[in-house]
Amino acid sequence: MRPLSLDRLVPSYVKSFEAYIPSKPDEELKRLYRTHILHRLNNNENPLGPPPSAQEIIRKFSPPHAAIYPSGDSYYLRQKLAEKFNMHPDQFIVGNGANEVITFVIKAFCEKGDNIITGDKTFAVYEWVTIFSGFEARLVPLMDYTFDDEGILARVDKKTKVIFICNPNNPTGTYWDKERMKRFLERIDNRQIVVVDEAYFEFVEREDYPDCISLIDKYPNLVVFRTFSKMYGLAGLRIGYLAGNLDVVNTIRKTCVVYSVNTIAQKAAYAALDDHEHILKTRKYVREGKEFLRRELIRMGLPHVIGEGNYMMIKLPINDTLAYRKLMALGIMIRAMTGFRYPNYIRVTISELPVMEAFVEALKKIL
Amino acid sequence: MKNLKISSPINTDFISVVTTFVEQSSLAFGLQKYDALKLTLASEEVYLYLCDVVQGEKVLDITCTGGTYFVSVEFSFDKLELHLQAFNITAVPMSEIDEELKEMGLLIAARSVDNLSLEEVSGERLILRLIKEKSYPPPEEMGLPAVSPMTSFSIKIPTADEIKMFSRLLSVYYKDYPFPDAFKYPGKLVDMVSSSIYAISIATDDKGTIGGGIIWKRMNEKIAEFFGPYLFNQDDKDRMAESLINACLERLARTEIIGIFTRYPTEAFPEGYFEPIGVTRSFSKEGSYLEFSCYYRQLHEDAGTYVYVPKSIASFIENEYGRLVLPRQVYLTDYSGEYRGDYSVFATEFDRERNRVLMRPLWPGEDYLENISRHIAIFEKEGILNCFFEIDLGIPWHSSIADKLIESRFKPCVVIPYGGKSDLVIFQWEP
Repeated sequence: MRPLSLDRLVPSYVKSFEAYIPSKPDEELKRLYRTHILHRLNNNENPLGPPPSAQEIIRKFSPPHAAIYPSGDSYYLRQKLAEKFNMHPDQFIVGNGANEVITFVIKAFCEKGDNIITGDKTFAVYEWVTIFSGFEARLVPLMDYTFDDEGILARVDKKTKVIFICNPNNPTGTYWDKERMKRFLERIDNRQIVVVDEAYFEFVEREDYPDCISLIDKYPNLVVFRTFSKMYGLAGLRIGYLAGNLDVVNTIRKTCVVYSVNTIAQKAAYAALDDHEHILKTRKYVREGKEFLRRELIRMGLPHVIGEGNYMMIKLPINDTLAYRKLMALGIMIRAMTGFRYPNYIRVTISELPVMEAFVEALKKIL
Repeated sequence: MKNLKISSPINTDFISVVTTFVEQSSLAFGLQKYDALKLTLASEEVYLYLCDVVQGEKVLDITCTGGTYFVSVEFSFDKLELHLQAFNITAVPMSEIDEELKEMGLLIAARSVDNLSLEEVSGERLILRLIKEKSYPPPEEMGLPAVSPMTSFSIKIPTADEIKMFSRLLSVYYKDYPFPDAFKYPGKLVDMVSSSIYAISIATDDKGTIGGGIIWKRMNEKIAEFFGPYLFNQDDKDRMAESLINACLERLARTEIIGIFTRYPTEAFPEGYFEPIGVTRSFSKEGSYLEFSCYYRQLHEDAGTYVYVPKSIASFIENEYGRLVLPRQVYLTDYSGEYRGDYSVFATEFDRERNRVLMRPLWPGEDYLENISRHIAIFEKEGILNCFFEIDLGIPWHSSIADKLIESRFKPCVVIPYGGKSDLVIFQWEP
């Protein structure tokens, strides 16, 4: 038998792409870093977990039902979303986390030679999916930690199909207000699909923050992502969704993998949507945690970037990947930001006060 | 890049076919006559050598590649068909017993080219590669623009003209500083950047004056080496140096590069961005030496890995892992008398510009000690005093050579996290 010739089989854009290697399981990391505890402040998870109603669903799930396929298109959850947002159920696609719906959009609109535009220092998955799918990702530098609307408009050409805006931006927490968002959509004038990723929507309490789902009627090229991983604490079940104009979403649906969202995720997400109390509780500890950290960081003389969302960035006087290792050895897992193109910054998930205190103590020890 | 390829039986009857192919291809790819002849001479030596060491009727693939700034010749053959020990740079043709003729083969080939390397591909084939770089004119004597300290600047990727200007400024402001020879030749640097060997970011003011820059290149698939940051007459060194380092890191982030290191940090180098990973010495013929601290940083979060550490360097390694807080599962190893083949093979990389040679183990063998001695003797004869040996702690059998290295006056001096399959340990020989 002849040897396998991967060189011939693999497209060049896949060859040159480096696979993302996720963290090892916590127990492995604890063993390697010789620590007995591990506070996960790296993935912007909600330490409160899912809302009580969703927890109840998870607890009550009957094991024999695991043998049955889930609803292939998250039927009931889409009904619920339609009711909540006063839209048609077919204006929603539910995916295995927001990462999956990013892939759906790129596959639906891009073909050879096309490009997408996004920020240079934002959630990496828009850029990754684009590149390993063989398309061009145009990265526009952020201005003052914020997506640069003029810069993006200057890079648009006939081959630009999708523009990804992370609002609020992960990791900087900055956002475009209602006016800026509308102004941008007006200027794009339906020539491109504009995806607004609102993964941290439920954390934002600002009056001028736009609810982009409410703008879909006026701007049919607008597609909005939301997730149950952050505020609703369902990251481990992987579920998120997109919303958009019916024709646009029907086009995206053609590229969807059905049955990718499991039954427990669908049911837990359905229950979570009703729980406003959970949102208020979460916002409260995030407010307190941010205030505490802000005070402590000022005392320590460390520059920081606090915006919306349940995270903040801190500039360190040492290499962020070294800080990661040193903090891990003390039982604190943060996100080193070189991979986000912010060398020597770390991103910290806001957690409850005792954990924030432990983080500050650890930070003092390593600096 | 363009390439031409022939397949030839390994038989001296075909020597003129091979040399004509290499010479004509080199000229067609833009080497000057003198350089083309040198590459042809080296190819002839390699081919004759292969004829001597390869048994039976075998076929060799010879590929001539024309890059922007170099021409390379690759000899590719099946590893199983060879006496592998013949690929030590110290090996001599088997048929030669005359002392005077012993200085032949790969070593003489290595002298005529800029780089000779041996590479194993997919565990089955070997590629012996010769590289001859094109000759470039030195920079012309011309006035340089005055560079004033800048209060504001922006970082950019330079155009070809800016790269040339950067090269000239470098030769003026860092005249006595160690950096690759290519930086001194503006045209060569332009070609090497366009060939993606080097990448550059520069700092300019609003008039386009260059205030500084940084250069980097891949050292291997995972590690990049950077040079600089170089600042030209700047007062606020920290700000510009940090901006240049950030630019370099931002361009490497989200690529397959997972670590970046430097062995010649400049005075403006911001230490807070890096971790010291050891010291190397540059020995001169007079017996003195200069010390260079190597600095490194990872670009990714370290999720930990396992390493095979020879007992003889365990305390050095544990000390380094503790200091750098590297999460490692350490398996201590020791040679227990198991058979490991008769003859070891080392890959050798010459860096004549820096009077330096780097060895790597390709195959294990019982003759480690003798093989190391043979290599050192050859290097001394060649006047090369800076000898390094690199072992990969992710490859269990590599550790079996550590004892013999130490016995031969090598000392572990640098640990490069994830520099190979796992961490690399660099040993340096004490002349």
